Amino acid sequence: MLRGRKEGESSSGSRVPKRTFDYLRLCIIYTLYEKEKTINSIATETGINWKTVELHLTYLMGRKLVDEVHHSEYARIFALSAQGREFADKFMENITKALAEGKLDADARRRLRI
Amino acid sequence: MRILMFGWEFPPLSSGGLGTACYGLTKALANRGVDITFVVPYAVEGEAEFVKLVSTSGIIKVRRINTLLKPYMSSKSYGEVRRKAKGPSMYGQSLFDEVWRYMHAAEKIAEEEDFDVIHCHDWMTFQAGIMAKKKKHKPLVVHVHATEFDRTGDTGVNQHVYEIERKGMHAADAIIAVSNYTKNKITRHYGIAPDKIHVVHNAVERSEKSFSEISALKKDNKIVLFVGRITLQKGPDYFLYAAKKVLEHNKNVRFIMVGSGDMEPFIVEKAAELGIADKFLFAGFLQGDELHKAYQMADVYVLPSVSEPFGITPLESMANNTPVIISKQSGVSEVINHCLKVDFWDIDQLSSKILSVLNYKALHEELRDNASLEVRKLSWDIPAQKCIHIYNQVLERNSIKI
Repeated sequence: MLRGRKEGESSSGSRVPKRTFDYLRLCIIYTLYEKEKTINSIATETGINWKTVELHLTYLMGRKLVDEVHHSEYARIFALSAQGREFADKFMENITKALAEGKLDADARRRLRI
Repeated sequence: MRILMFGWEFPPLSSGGLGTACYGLTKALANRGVDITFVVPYAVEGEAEFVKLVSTSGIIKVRRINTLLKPYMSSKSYGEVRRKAKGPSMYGQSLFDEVWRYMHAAEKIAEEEDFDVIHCHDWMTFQAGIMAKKKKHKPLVVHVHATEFDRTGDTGVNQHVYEIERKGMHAADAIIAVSNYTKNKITRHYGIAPDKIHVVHNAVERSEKSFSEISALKKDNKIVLFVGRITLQKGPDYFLYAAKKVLEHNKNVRFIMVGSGDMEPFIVEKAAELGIADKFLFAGFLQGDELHKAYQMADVYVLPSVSEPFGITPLESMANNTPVIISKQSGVSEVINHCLKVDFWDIDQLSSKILSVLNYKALHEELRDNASLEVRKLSWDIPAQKCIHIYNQVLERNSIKI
């Protein structure tokens, strides 16, 4: 699973590049691919700060990739929209294809942590 | 420290949260080395008997008085019990005569027992407490679990009960209220200075039992649970009206009502009138493992009380990993955060929240997991410590007076 990690922090101790907004949004999209989730669950599973998750969800809702399916004082629940699911499938297909064809250079792989 | 406690109920003979609260509190006090003699009004044959219960370092003794009094009794229900009782000559003519008789029996016990503080639970025991205080000149602490205003939903307050409550509260050296909600009611309706009232929230004993068997009812349905006396105070009618709205959106929901009370015939008839009687299951009064099974079977627990001084049942539900929706007009809403809160009268909100918990697995899991962690912090040791602090305060003040 894609998982956020703070800049400079890595399991091997080597320096990892700063997470881009695109990378964080991909993390969120792939976490929601499994099932609908609360912001708290997304933040716990991806290791991204709660507030950051909330802000990116707002952006993703604007792009119509994510829907807010429930809103209450206690919790907000988000799910991938049909458009978001299509985007995720297509993105994964492209990445797999690029990897197989060796078109993904080292820098791109490092950024995507794959 | 030795405490003489007057109560209405004590497990296994109890009918509501008061018995559970008394049991949890006395057990935790005993664990902290406090010796307790607990006086309860049970109709038992022959002489008063002693039962030794829990003992870790302290001692709890239960003394029983032969009386017809039962918790949550009204004048009407006392009359019915008395008519059914054999040998009516020994029991009082009315509920208040019986309270009077209980007071004199308690006075005798107070003379025999050696104690430092008197602790009374709710109005029926207040006169006994006052009498014991007069006899032994020991400080009196009254513990208010519910006021007459809660029991009657602010309508049709019994003046006699109110007077007894008021007298007890004014005679007490300290008052323990189960929530700030109750503290406000006491200051507003009984004219008591706020600094005399200490808020000690109730707690819950964690259930370690897990019942894995799945009921046939649960296979195709979601279950919504109500646990409490079916009386005006607990808002069973709001539960019923919310159920009607839920069923308009989801037919595969069953509603279980655990408990009994004077509104039960009305609720059954109303359910039939609304055409949802087949979706309702009236389980009657449950306790012990049966009650835990009911909590674990449910998908969501609802407390729609009109006026709930505290409300231990949501904590029990949380301890059994079942999400809760509670009335904002309850004391328990002051201590828990991982639950959904509604105004008891807002049936639209209540039904919408029930549907949300049933439909959104993410919300259900979030509530269940966080509530399970939250309830672990609510142990009976905390209220026990607070009570000991209050006992020490009144003893200190009493010694200065002497």
